[in-house]
Formats: sequence, structure tokens, C-alpha cells
Amino acid sequence: MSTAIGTNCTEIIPDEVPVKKKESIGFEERFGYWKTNQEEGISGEEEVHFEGTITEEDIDDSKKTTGISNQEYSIIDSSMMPQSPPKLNEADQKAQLILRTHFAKQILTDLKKIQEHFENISAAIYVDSLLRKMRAMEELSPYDPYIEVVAALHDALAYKDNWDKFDAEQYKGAYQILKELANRHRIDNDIAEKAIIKLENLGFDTTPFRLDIDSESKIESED
Amino acid sequence: MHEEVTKKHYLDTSVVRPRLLGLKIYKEYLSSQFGNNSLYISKYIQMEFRRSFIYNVICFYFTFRVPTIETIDDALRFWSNKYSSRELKAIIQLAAELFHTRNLDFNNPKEKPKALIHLALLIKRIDAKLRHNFKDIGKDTARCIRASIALKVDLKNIANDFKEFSEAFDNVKFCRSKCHIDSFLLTRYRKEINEFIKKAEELPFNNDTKGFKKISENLSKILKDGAKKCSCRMCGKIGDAVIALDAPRKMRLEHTDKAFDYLCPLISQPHKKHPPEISLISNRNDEKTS
Repeated sequence: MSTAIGTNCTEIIPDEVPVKKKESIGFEERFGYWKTNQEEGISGEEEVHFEGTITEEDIDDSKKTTGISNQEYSIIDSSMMPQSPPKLNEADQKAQLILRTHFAKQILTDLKKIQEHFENISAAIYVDSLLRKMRAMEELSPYDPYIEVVAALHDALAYKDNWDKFDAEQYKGAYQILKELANRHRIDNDIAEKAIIKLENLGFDTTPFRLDIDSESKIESED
Repeated sequence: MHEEVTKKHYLDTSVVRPRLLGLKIYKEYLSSQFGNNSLYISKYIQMEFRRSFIYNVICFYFTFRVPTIETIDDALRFWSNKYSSRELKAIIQLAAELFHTRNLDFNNPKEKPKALIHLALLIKRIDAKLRHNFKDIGKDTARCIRASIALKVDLKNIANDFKEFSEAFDNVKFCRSKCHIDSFLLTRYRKEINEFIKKAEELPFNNDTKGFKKISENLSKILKDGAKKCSCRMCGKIGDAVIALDAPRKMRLEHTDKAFDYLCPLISQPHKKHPPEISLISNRNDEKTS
């Protein structure tokens, strides 16, 4: 494990060069996408800055502007979660973006703080805050594709308290991925998926759960 | 063994599974074996993984979604009482670990929607890793159509998208009507299959040979009855033979299944048998205690 204690993460994060994605249609669109893992990183969607764009300044100030305390997060009733997915109209989409920006700012702040307090006992303060905010966001905005990446990072950190096993550089990488994603106006499946693979490439095991099958047993199912 | 061969690893499903969902110690073991070399799988391996794992977890998702199943505990109990096979039981452990990590209350009906979403997210994530973490060998002689059925899930449409995938995956008549498994077995690799059958007849039946002998028996039935014997179910029973036959000879087939120890030498396919997860872990534990 590296010991990059207190890595300064206030440096300017370079924007990715936007690459236009080709739309595929027909059978391939419905069934087939066999990827050869040749392409790296998130590409395909132009980064669109909208009114909720998160800047470094926002992240530093987000504590001051937060309307919900940690205590309040913990009492959010899960019955508030919609039972069936809503079809988002323009207003809903706007609300989703506002929620995303609201939570992303706080999640990013915590990720930054964890880097600063890395290997100090105080890191737990921000890990606690981070995991709670991730869960709060998941409850309030469960159908936002941003959640896919948040949940992936959550599981990598929370499983068997693995948060303690990652170093400051890895947290910095996660911060960059989530920040870049939060600044996109539109996040589709492909973009969310590639962000998760980027987390994996940083060493975050986003599927740490064990499937305990005797590897000698080949599976013969259905039909 | 030629150096080029040992640098390209073609992973059987038995290695893909723990690579994605194994114990940390086993994942580390596999990483130490492969280093930074490229890892390859085929469309057929993808299909095997989806059939043996993704499809089953989707079935668990729908079992849990049934309105009469109110809590996580209800779902796990129902699944546990209903299914006895190891691969289906294994889903209980996986789901329980996921829900524990999320601190969900197993007896609170209000946690059900959250649990369902997290299960769906996990399924999506595993499928994404299956597609992105390995390279394609670029060879698909059997032309398995089932392997082309992609899992595309929108969070706003989880149940419908899972259902659509499952229905396409279940449509084995259509899939079989389009694939080339019959010509793969009956024409292209007939000579090799005859050698498998001959070798299996010479071997005694024991724990090491039973997998290979079972595969050979089924291959023998296919050669006898022809194309009508070729079905997706039968293909599942001879999967190791399909994988070995279609493996690129310039890659090393990585597996834990004993059947490959007999299949690969007969077709000059480089291969390596890795210890199954459970034996590696018990060996490590033994080393610690001694």
C-alpha cells in the first residue's frame, strides 16, 4: 500500500477530450455488443456543462450549503423510494440533475477529505460521512445512472471495511471519476459502465462478494 | 512451452467465475499467475457465464420481486427451500453478502425496493466486468446465437429489461436454429471428437476421469443421432469440449476442471489446471497451522 499521506487534490483536473460516439442500430443495438476491451476510458459523450456544474470551489463550500445533516440522512424513510420507476418529464429530469449535483458535491468533498486524512484515525469521520451520503443519494434518486457508479464505489469500500485498504492515490482517482461524471449533463449506460471499469482499473473491486461454487461443477441448467 | 503461448491466457468459465466473484485470496492467486498479460475469453464463455450465473441471479431477482415475498429473509428462505443445487444455493450467500454490506434489515418489508435495486445494480456491474475485463479471442466457430444476447438494463426499466433478456435467452429453439453447433461437432471437429470418445473408453471411471467420460458419452450420442441431438441443453453438457476445440492453439487455456486434462492433450491445446478455490484456501490454511 502506498503512503501518499495528505495528497493535495486541489490541482486542476484536465478535461477529457470529447469523442463523438457512433450510434448503432438494429440487431446489434438490441442484442449484440461484443466489446474487445480495446477502448479505454469514458468516451463517447461530449461533456456538457450545465447550470449545476461542479467546480472545485463548490466542493470546498458544499458543507456550508448543505441543507440536510447526517442525522437527517439516517432517518430518511425507505418507503419514500418510488416502487415503480417513474417516467421522467423535463421537470423530473431537472430535479434529478439538482439532486445529483447536491449529493455529488458532498460525496466529492468527503472523497477529498479522505485523501487529506489518509492513514489518520480521523479518516473514519469522512468515510462515515461518505457512505451515509452515498446511501442517502441512492434512496432519494435511485434511478439516476450516476447512482450506478456511486453504488459500485460504495460496495468496494463498504464490503468488509475495505475502505481502509485503499490509498490516497486511489481515492484521488475515484474523486476524479465521480467529478467528471457529475459534470455530464447526460449519463447513459455506456458511460456509467466505463466509469465503473475505471474504478476497477484503479483497484476498487466493485464486486467483492463471493460466489461459492465448486469450480469442478459445470452447470447444466434450464431448457 | 513457447513463451508466446504463456503470455496469452484463454480463460475457461471455471476461472472467469472466481476471477469476477472469488475470494480475495483466490483473485490474488489468479493475478499472480497471469501478471499483466492479456486475458481472453470467447463469446461462448460469456454465454456459459450468463447461463450459469447471470440468468440464475435474474431468476432470484424475480423471485424476490413476487408481491407475496415481503422481506429479504422471505426471499432467501424461499430460494433455499426450493432449490438444492450448489450453483443456486450459492446465490443466497452472494445476495446475503450484498444486503449485509448495505446494512439492510432482512425482516423489514420497507427494505425490499432498496434490496431489489442493489441486486439489479450488482447484476449489471458483473455483466459489465464480464464484457470489459477480457479480450475476445476473435474466434466463434460454433456461432452461438445465445452468446449474442446482451444484457442491456436501464435503471428506469429494470424488470422489463431483465425479462426481455431472460425471454431471449430462454428461446433455445430460435437460438439453436441459428447456431452452427451441429456442423461444429459433426463435421469440423468430428475426427477430434472420435479421439475423445476412444480415449474415454480406455480410461477407468474415477473422480478424475468422470467429467471427461460424461462429456465423451454425450459426444458419442451426438455422433450417433446427428443434428437432432444437438440442443442448447446438450451443448451445456459438452461445454468443455466445445471450449477446448475452439480454443486458439497459441493461447494457454486456464481452467480448474479436470476434464480439460484429458481433452487438451489430445488436440495439442496448451493448458493449465489451477487448484479450485476451496483447495487453494485449505492448503494455505494448512500451511499456516503447520
